[in-house]
Amino acid sequence: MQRAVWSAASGMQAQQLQIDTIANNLANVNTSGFKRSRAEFHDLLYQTVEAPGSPTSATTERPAGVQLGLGVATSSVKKIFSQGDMKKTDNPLDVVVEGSGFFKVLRPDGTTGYTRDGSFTTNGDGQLVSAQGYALDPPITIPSDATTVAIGRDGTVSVTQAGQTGSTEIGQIELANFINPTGLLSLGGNLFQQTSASGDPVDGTPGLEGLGELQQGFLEISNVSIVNELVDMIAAQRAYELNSRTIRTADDMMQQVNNIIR
Amino acid sequence: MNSQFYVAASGLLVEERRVEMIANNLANLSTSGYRSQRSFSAIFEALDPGASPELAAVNRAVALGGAYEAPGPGPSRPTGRGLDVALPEGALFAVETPAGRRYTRNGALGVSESGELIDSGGRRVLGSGEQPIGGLTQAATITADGQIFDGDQARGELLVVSDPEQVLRPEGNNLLTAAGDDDRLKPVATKQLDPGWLEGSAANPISELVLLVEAQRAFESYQRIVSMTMNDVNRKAVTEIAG
Repeated sequence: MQRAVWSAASGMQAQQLQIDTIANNLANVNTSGFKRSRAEFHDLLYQTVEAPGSPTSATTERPAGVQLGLGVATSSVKKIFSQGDMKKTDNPLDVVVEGSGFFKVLRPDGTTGYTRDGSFTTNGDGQLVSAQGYALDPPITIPSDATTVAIGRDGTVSVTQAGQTGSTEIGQIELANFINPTGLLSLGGNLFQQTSASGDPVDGTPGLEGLGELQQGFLEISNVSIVNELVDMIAAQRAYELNSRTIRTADDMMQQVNNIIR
Repeated sequence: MNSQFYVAASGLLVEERRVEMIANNLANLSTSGYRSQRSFSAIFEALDPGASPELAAVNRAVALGGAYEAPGPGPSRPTGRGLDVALPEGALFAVETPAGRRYTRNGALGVSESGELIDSGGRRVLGSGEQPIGGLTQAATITADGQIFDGDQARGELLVVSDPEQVLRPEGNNLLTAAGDDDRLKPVATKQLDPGWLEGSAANPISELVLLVEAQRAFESYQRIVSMTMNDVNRKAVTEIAG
């Protein structure tokens, strides 16, 4: 009976984690560049009570064994990097990546952060910075007398300055790609960090080598589907209840044993 | 002591095992590709065939005869992820582990940092040539006939096997291991996969709960027999006959 109680407890923990993951997805339904997470589970070890194929007589053997599983564990909480929908903002410094690739920003500790959130602004020095104020890598500085800023599909940034008719190219937005973006570490603040599981970043120009093209004046909204999350939430809640029911049943049975001797 | 005591006690043990098995099924309601474990009971007779019919009639006990996987498939749902794939019933992927070849129904595949196709536990998934499939990036996709593409470049074909003789048994971590000497299962003739879909757990909450209630009630019945034997029959024997 101890096994039943612990299996059910592992089931309740798994569903708790499922609900935690769904709650975070739903909380970020309006976070631009957010990628939803999906919890994945695997069964725990099995104890062999009766081995299949063990002899039942000199000439016969057991056709099926008895193995008791010990519950469930979380194998991973996976980020799903599907494209989010695009929202038109008309802000010239909002950029969306159509396809794969991450913007690179320089974090205060000197490492590079990767983000899908293209809601850039300029800081006091005219530098293009992310929503947290981290400068784009390579840095792009917009002159103070710029009247319009144009970001091309290939990431070239050009400005028209006061008193001039033509536009001047002032920089190039680069993107980075990973063999296994699922292996990236989520840092919060819409940022990801490279890990040994993600592989090294492959830098490139938007539109080349499998990288997506940029689109100015749009933001990528979160790829969370509210309907799917709610369906998952109902399923997780019911599964949680069922596992607590198992604990109650096992407990009732242990009580029965306690009552054998009146 | 009275033989009914041992018969009932054996029943208590069987029902305990069944509840443990159902608890594991219910714990895995969200495990992709999980199959419910079911058990069957067997009458256990340790008597000499020449024993008298009276003895043979009472001196029996019940034991778990064996366990098997209830057939699937579990409900599939669309995920829109290029490396999620639902397998038809009876089909499995082969993966490479340090302990040898294992099989899995969990179709939440991925790409490792070295560009190889891996399962959700990071184990390399084998291709039709019984070799891992490499050269992939995040643009990797799977087709319905099991081909792996990276963008428009063909990178290999998945090894999909079946287990008609039911030699596989669960090992945990979404893995199954072949019980026999030969751990190489035969590939299926035609692959029919559902890319972009993921199979859920085949454990059905309703049937598990019915079985749980059934096991609980059977346990109660056995408990009453044990209780009656110990409290009533034996006490009467001691106090009334002996006294």
